[in-house]
Amino acid sequence: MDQAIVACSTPPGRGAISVVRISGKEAKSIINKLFTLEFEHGASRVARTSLSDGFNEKCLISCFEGPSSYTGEDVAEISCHGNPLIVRALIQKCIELGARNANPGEFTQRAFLNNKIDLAQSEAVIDLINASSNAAMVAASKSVSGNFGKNVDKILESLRKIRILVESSIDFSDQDTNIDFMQINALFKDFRCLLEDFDERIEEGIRIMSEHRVVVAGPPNVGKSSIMNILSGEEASIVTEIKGTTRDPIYKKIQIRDLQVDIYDTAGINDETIDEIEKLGIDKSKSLIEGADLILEVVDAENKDFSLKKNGNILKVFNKSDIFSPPKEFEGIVISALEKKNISDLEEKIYELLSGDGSDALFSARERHQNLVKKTFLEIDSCPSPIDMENVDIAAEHLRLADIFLGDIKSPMSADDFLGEIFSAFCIGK
Amino acid sequence: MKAEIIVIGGGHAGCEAAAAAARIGVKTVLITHKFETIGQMSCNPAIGGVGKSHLVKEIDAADGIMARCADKAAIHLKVLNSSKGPAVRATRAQADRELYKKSVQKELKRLENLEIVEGEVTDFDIKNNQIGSVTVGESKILKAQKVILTTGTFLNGKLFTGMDNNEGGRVGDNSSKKLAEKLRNIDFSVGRLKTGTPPRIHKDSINWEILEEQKGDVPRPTISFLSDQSIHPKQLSCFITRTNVKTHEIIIGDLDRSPMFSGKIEGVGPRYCPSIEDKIFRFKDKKSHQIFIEPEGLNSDLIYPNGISTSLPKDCQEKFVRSIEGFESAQITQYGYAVEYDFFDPRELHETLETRKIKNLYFAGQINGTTGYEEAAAQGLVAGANAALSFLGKDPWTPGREESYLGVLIDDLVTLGTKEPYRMFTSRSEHRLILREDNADQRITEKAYKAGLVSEDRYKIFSEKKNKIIKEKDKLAKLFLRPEDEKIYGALKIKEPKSATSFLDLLKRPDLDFHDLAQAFSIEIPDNDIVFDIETNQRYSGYIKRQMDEIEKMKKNRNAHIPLNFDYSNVKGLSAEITQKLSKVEPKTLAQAWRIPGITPAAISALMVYLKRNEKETADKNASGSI
Repeated sequence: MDQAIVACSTPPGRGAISVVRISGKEAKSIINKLFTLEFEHGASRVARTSLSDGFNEKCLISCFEGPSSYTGEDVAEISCHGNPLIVRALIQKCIELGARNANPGEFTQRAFLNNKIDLAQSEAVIDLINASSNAAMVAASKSVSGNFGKNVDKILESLRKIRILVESSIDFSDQDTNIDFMQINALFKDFRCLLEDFDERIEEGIRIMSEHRVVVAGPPNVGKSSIMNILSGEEASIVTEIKGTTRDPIYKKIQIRDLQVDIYDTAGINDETIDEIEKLGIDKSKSLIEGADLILEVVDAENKDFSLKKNGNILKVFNKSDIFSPPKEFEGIVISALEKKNISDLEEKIYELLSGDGSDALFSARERHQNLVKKTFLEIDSCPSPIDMENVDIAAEHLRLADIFLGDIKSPMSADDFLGEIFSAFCIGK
Repeated sequence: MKAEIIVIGGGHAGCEAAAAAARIGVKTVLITHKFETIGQMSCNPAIGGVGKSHLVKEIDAADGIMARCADKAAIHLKVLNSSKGPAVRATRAQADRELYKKSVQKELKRLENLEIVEGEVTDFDIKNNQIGSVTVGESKILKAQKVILTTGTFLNGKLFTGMDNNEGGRVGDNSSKKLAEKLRNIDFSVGRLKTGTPPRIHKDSINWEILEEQKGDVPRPTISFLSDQSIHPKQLSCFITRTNVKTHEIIIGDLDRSPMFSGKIEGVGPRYCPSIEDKIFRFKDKKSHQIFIEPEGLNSDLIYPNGISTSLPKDCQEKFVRSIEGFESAQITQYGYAVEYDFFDPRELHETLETRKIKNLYFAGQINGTTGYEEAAAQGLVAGANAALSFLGKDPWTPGREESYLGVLIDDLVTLGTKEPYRMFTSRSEHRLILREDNADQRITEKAYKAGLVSEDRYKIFSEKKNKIIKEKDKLAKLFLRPEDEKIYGALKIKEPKSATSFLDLLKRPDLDFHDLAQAFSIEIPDNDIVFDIETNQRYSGYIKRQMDEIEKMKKNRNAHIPLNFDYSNVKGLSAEITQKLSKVEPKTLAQAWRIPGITPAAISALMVYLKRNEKETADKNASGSI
């Protein structure tokens, strides 16, 4: 076991509680000395420790003995009051007793190095931390528990079935193995289907992990900023009756049920403006619209025919219903930002459009996985088809490489900077 | 008698080792029980086959003896996988046992620096973990700088037929018990393996009329790069028959009298070469197994029924053999038996095949857990060459796995070890499209020549071929098919090329071969081997380039050197178990470490990070030091 590492595992700042985590060979003795407490696997105890003159902190200490712990080493988690001064003092004590500050992601790195989790799982831990919706959390936790790995295994197994036959046809041609190339080609087809399916699932797994970006767009002065403020519950955007008040896009994180959404207020689209600064703002709005997951296209009675002329995820919102009713043919949500009418319908609709069928995602995934699957596809597509006697040596080579790429998803063999990248995506303590 | 190098054992590993050391020019003595058993083929009378022939051609390219002896004894030749791509084609020869043995003995006798001694080695003198001499018989002491041990299945060998067992390394030959005891005392990790042979049958007792005949290939391939067909003796056919339901019933009924099934044999047998009782037991759905009937030789009365190796009792062997079509009145002249023997964990060897524990002691062949003549000979070559080179104070010759099957074999053995008798397959190589039979000389001869293994004559022939290929390729690269050459592409029945395309590039097209092109361009066709070389390299060029890039990348990334006596306990994040495994195998490179069973990707990453950081620190130190 390595020298103990210590870090605060909860976000920095003040809160009800903070958790300081220790992992490594000194964990036992630190707990012992700090709290005069026996380190006992699975136990949670309340105990006090003196952090400064006249200050005793009451903590909850949970102990996990290696290898049955997250990192595979002896781990202790100390819950204290959520005051940065207390956390700092506690960490300082641990360091005096033999621990050192943990590097970003070092706890998970140790779990990985001690074979507690595979690479795909360790990536999923980051995903779980960063998940911004319930569906994403469910998907990431499925990956952490190995669901993703199982899917990879299933595909690898299917590929290896083919490889076994192909390699046998080469190495055991002088025995009566009777390798059936029809069977090889049938299996090859099956494998391709599985891979395609997997690719789609990965796509879904990536999509679900991504942030949700909603852009409020429309002509000037239809009340975009008012809508933004109502949704975020703050006066984030300045609301005036002057056209073109909002020039720089403003964004706010909002929560709709379990969904975390980044909502952007944009400059009104006014192609007739001659104001240079406003023009720049409009350009920015347009590029934001391009990258949006959902566009709220806001109109009012004066601008009822306005359209961004875009495809994709668009929700039409008719504002100022307190003044005029929408035209009969209007399809969308009708609200009044001023009178806060129908706002919950708007939120409901946004939620519905963003969450989609994502709750079915089998696992969380990332671009690295997708790239490896792409490489696998490249091999599969350049593999001669149908595979026959004459091309089997070349087919074998493509299948071998496909195996390597797929295998890399779970246990890659590559440079350390790559690993470093994975672990630096963690915040301290995870 | 003076010997710098002593080779113990006259099997395929011993012969190749002795010949290699003598070729390099170091005084060598080969000690064997009986002179007349030198070069004996103890198992099936065949040399080559997929993976194995690749090894034989490489041995030949280093001027070893196996290939040319096989050619002199070849009574039936075939190219396996002939309808598949050139990379996986493999030559196999049925060999006349007597002719093979005699040509090996002749080869050894004509070597100036080699002397052959009959006797049993009974003891070693080992001081300070270094070998100094061996004792032959009761008291004759022979001093040597290097000792190569190639005792095959003779160490603690036990023969099994039914519930009877005898000590011995081969029927009719004693096992080396004293030596085995001595070696067990030196603290080498010992394992037990087993192998088996089928009963031999008198050829006149077989009903040949009803059997399926398999003729050799026409034209006949050769094994050695230097042989031609005129060297081959008279050719014979092989025949094929099959077991049937009745055969299987007989065997199943007697399984309890099989030493393997009753637990008398502890050794692990090869999964790819199981006994007939194993096959029937494990593949219950298979109603019939093929038997390949191989002639034992031109003047031999025996045939070798390949596919029914067994250690069942004699009466059962009689019964089941006679249930087979064509064998109804078969006379068994020697019953099948299983051999169980000691082997040493090859992970305790250096890449030169010198043991890590005892300096100047080398192991080669079945003693390292391999099976097969070719695998044994390959190790003999490497051990013999390196013993001699080390004696002369020269650099070792250790072919890499990216350039040869010799390298694949030795790297696998010293890094991975083995749990069952190790046999070569082409699928063991990551570079199959590069490591072909046809280019073994291009891959091996130059380096082997530098090591002193290759005669001037062979080197001259090799260089001529190499130069011819270079010249021909140069010529073909400058020979263009242009859009205006309507006559040429018309003759080739291909579309008008968009731009000038060289003859060489045209060869990459699967629908064109050298001969079609040569005719269309009306150029002279060079020798067959030159045509084949150029054609094959062009056909695979995309893949070869990719594998070469891969090799380069691998060399850069993974061949990070691990220092000798590296202290793994310094590396953060390695478990105790992994630290122990790495310390035991002492991999030289990261790539080797990666291939050790049980080593996790995480451990490799940790090791890689550590090595890189170390490298950087050293470099930084050196840089600051130089200011």
